[in-house]
Amino acid sequence: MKVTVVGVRHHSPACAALVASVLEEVRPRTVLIEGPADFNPRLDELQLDHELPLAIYSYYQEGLGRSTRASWSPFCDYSPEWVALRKGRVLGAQVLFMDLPAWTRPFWGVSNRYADRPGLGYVEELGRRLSCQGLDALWDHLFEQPLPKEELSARLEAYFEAVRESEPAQDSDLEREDFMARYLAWAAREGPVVAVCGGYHKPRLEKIWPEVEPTLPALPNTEAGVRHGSYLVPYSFRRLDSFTGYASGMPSPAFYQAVWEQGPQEAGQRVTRWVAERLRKLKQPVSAADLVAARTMTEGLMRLRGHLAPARGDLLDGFASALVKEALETALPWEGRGLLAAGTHPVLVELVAAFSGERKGRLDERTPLPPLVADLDRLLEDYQLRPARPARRVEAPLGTEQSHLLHRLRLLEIPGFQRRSDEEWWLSMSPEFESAAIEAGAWGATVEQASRARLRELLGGVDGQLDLVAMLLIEAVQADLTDLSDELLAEVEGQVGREVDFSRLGAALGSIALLWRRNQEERFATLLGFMQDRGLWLFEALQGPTLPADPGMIAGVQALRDLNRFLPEAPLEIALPVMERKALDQQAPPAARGAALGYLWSFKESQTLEEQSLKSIRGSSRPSELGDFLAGLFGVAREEVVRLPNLIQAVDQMVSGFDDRDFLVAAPSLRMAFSYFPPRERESVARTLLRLHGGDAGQAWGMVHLKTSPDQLMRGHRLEQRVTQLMESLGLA
Amino acid sequence: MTTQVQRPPAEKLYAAELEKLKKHDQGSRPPGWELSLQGVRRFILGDAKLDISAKFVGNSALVDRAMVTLATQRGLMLVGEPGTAKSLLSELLAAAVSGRSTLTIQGGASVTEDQIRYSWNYALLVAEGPSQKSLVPAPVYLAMKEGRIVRFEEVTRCPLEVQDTLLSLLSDRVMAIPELEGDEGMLFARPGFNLIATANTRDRGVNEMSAALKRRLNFETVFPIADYDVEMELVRRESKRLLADSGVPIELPAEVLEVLVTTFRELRDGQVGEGHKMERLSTVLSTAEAVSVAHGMGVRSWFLRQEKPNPADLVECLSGTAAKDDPDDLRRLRQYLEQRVKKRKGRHWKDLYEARHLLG
Repeated sequence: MKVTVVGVRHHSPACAALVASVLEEVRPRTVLIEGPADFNPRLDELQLDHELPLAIYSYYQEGLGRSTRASWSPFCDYSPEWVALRKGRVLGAQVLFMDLPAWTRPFWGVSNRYADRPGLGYVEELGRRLSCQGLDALWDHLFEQPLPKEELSARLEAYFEAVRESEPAQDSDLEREDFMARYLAWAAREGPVVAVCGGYHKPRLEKIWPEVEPTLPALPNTEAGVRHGSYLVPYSFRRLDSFTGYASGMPSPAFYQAVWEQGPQEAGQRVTRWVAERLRKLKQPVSAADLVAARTMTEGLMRLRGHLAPARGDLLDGFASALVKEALETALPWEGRGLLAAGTHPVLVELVAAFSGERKGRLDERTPLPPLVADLDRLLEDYQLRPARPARRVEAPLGTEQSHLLHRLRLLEIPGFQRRSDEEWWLSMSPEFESAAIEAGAWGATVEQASRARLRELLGGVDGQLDLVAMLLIEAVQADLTDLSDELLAEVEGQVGREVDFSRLGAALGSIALLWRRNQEERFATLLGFMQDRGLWLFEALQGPTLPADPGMIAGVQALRDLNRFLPEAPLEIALPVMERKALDQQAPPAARGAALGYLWSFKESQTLEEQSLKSIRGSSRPSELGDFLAGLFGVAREEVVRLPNLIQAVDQMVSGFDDRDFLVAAPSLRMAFSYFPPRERESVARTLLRLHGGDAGQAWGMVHLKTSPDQLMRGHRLEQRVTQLMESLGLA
Repeated sequence: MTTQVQRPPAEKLYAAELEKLKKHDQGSRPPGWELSLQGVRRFILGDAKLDISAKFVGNSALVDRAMVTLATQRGLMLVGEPGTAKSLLSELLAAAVSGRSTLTIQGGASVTEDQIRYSWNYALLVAEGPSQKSLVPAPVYLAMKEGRIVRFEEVTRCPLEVQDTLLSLLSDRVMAIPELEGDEGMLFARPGFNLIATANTRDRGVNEMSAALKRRLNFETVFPIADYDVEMELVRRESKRLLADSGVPIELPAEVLEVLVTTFRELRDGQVGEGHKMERLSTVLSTAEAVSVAHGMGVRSWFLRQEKPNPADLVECLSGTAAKDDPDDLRRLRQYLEQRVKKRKGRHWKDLYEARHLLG
C-alpha cells in the first residue's frame, strides 16, 4: 500500500512514538500532516532551532475594525505532528501540511486546531466498561501504556473507528476530509506517503482518497478586503494545558514531556520531585513518609488497573490520597475536564500545576518577527505616542483614538505607558519595550487583535470575582474592544450567576449601567437584565437586623432603581414585590429596609409608604438603627423624601428623645444618612427644622455650611490619615 | 432455614453473587482477602457479563483508591455529606474483602475503649481470673484475630482520646492485653485486618481528629451523584420499592419526580439552572433524603386521598425535611419558590409555585 494514514490523538506521546517508527519503516517520499496548508511555503521556519512549545497563530479579519477570528495550532516536542515535521525532513521526505487554512469556514469559532473531540457516546460507554473515570484516564489506560507497536496501531484503529461511528461527522469535518483526501491522492502518484491526522478522520480518509481527483487542491479564495495570515509565536505549557485553556487538548504537558524524554517510569519519579518541591516551597508539610505512601498507592492502583507503568491518573490519585487529609469540596479535577472549579483543594491546585509545568517556548532568532511589532511601530508613529526619555505627558481623553490605543497597550502590558487619569498619560521609554512587544505578538497580529485576545485570557483568570470582571469589561470599552464575542459575555454572565455578595454585584451593576447609558448597546441591556435578576435575589437574602448601613449595599439598590428607570425592558413586576417584602422584613438590616422603601418611592407615590417610613423611624429600637434606616432611605430616594416635612419632624422627635450617650451612638449613622443630600437640599432640611423649632429659616445656610477653608479640611484629612497609619503600624487599628 | 430479617447484611443479601465471583476470580488476592481487587470492583460496581448487579452508583476511581488503600497498611477514611452512601460503600467493601460486614462500631459520645478493643465477663473474671475465656472481644479484637475489615461509623463523633485508641492498632498492627500472660498478652493482627472509618462533613468540628490518626488514614471524599439521569433513576427505583413495601400500589408520576429531583439538586448544590448561585440549605438534601421524601409523598397521597402525589405534597414534605427546624432554611426555601420556581414553565412547576403558602 502506498498510503499509510496514522490516526493520532494530538499531543499524545504514544502516538508521536508510533509516527516516528512508521516513518522509519515506510521511508515515505511525502509526509502529509494535519495542519494549515497555507503555511506550506513557510515550513522552513518550523525547522529552525526553536525551544518548544510554539504555535502557528492564524488570524482572519473581514475588513478593518471588524471582529477577528484567531486560531492556534500548538506544537510541543511530543506532538505527533511535530515529530512528523522534523523526522520527515531528516529522512529526506517532502513534508507538507494538508488541512484547510484556519480562516476557512470549518475553523470558525475554533481556537485550538488540535483540541480534543468531546468524547461522547462510545467513549463514555467504554469508560464505564473499563472503570476509567473520564476521557483522559481512558486514553492513558488504553494507549499511553508500554505496548508493542502493532498492538497500539490495532487499538487506535479500533478505537477511532468506533468513535467515528458513535459521533456523527459534521459538515466541517467532511469539508476538511475532502480537502485532505485530495492531498493524499496527489502525493500517492509520486511515491509512498505517510499521512498524520486526527484518528477521527482516518477511517473516511482511507476510504475516499483513492476515488478523488489526484490534483493538489487550490487554497480557497478569500473575499475582497479580508486580511489573514499565520506566523509562529512562542507558546507555553500553561496555555497548552486543558485546565486553563478554552479549547482543551491533552492535559498535564510537563508530565507528558517527561514521559516523552525519559519514559514513564522515570517521569513518575520526576513528577514526584516537582510536587514535593512545589508544596514545600509553599511551606506545606510533605514528609518522606507521605511520598512513600503516595508511591505505594500509585503502585497498588497500577496493579489493580493493569498498568505496567504509572499512568497520569495513578500518580495523581496516589498523591491525592497521601497528601489530602480532609474532606474535599469539589471532585478531583483530573476526573473531569475544563477549568478548575472554585473551591478546589489547594493541594490539588498545586498538583495540577506541577503536572502542567511552567515551561515557555522560545523562537529561534531567525524567525520572522510577529507582525504586531510592525503594527505597533506604525500606530505609535501615526498617533505620535512614541515613548520617550525623559517621560512626557500626553493628553488623550476617553473615547479618542489615542485613548483607545493607549488602553490597548496597557492591556498588553507593554511597559512605558502610564495612565494618570481619564485623560492624562505619561509615556516613558523602557528597556523591556521591545521584548514585551515581541511577546505580545503571541496574542495577535495587530494591536487590536492582540489586546482582544489578551482581554479574553484575563477574563478566564478572574474566577468568581465580579468586580474584576466588570473592571475588565470597562477596560474593554475604553480600549474600544466593544465587539466582545458572545463567549466573553457569557463568561461575565456566568460570574454574575455565581456572585454571592450583593454590594459587589451592585457596584458592578452600577458601572455597567453607566457604560450602557453611554453606548446603548442591546447586549449590555440583556446582561443588565440578568444582573437585575441576580441582584434582586441577593438583596432578598440580606439578613441581620443589627448590621450597620453598608454604602455598597445602598449603592446597589440605587443601581437597581436607576436600571428600572432607564432600561424600559427591566421588569418591575418582580422587583416591586421583592422590595415590598424587604421593606417589611424585620430580620433585614435596617438600611436594607430603608433602601427597599426608597426604591418603592421612586416608582409610586403613596400615603402608605410615608406611613411605613414614619413607623420605621418611630419604631427604631436602637439609636444606631434610626440612622441606618435613614441612610438606606435617603440613599435611594432623597429627592422624594426631602419634600416631606412629616418625616423630618419624626426624625427630629426621635433625636430630641436621645440622651447624650444614645446621641453619640447614633451620630455616625445619622451623619452618613444626611450626607446623601447635596448642600442645597441639606439647607432645605435645616429650614424645615428651624421652622419646627420656631427659629429664623433664613439662618439655614449658615447651619449647614462649614466655615473652614478647603485647605484646612485637607490638612485635617491628612492628619487623620497619618494617625491611622501610625496606629496600624503599632497594631492599634 | 433462616428466619426473615428486616435488613440482612450485604454478605447475606448478595451471598450468591459473592459465591459466583469467588468461583470466577482469577486475579491474585492480597493476603487475607476473600476476593482479588478486580473481584471486589466487580462486586461493587457490577459486571454485566457475570450478571452482578451494580450496588454503588458513582465514581469508579474512588472505589479503586479505596480498595488499594485497604490492601496497604493504611486505614481508609470515607468522608462526605450525609446520605452519600458512605456506609453502604464501607459495608460492601467489608463484605467483599473479608466476607463479613458486621464487625462494626457505631461512633458516638458514649463509646469507650472497651467497645473497641475488649472487655471482661466480670463473673468469670472474678471466679477464674483473666483468661481467654473471660475476655469479651469487641469488633477490633475480632477483626485483628480473624484478619478482617472492621468498620468504624461516624468516627468523629467519638471523643479524641477514644479515637486515638486506634493509633497503635493501625501502625503496629498489634493489640496488647496486659491482663493476660505470655503469648496471649499480645494479639498480632492477621493478614486482611484493616479499618474503614466514615465521618460526615456536617459533623466536622464535633470532634476533630488528631493529626497522628489522620496520618494513618487515607481520606476519600464521597460526593453526591453528579449525573442527573442516574440520580433520577435511583430515586424512581428506590421509592417504588419502598412504596411497594408500604403497601402503596402507585408510583410517582414522572413530572413530579422531575420536580422533586431538580429541586433537591438545586437546593443541595446551591446552583439553579445555568450558573445562578444561591445559598445552600444547611439541611442535608441527599439522594437518600429524596428517596424518603418521594416515599413520604406517595404514602401521604395514597392513604389520605387515594391518588397519585402532586407538587403540593412536595411542598408539605419539604417543610418537614428541607427546612426541619432552621428558620434560615425556611427563608431560603421560600425565596427559592418565590423567585426561581415562579419563572419555570410547565404545569407541575406552576403547581409547585401555587402551593408555596403550604410551607407555613
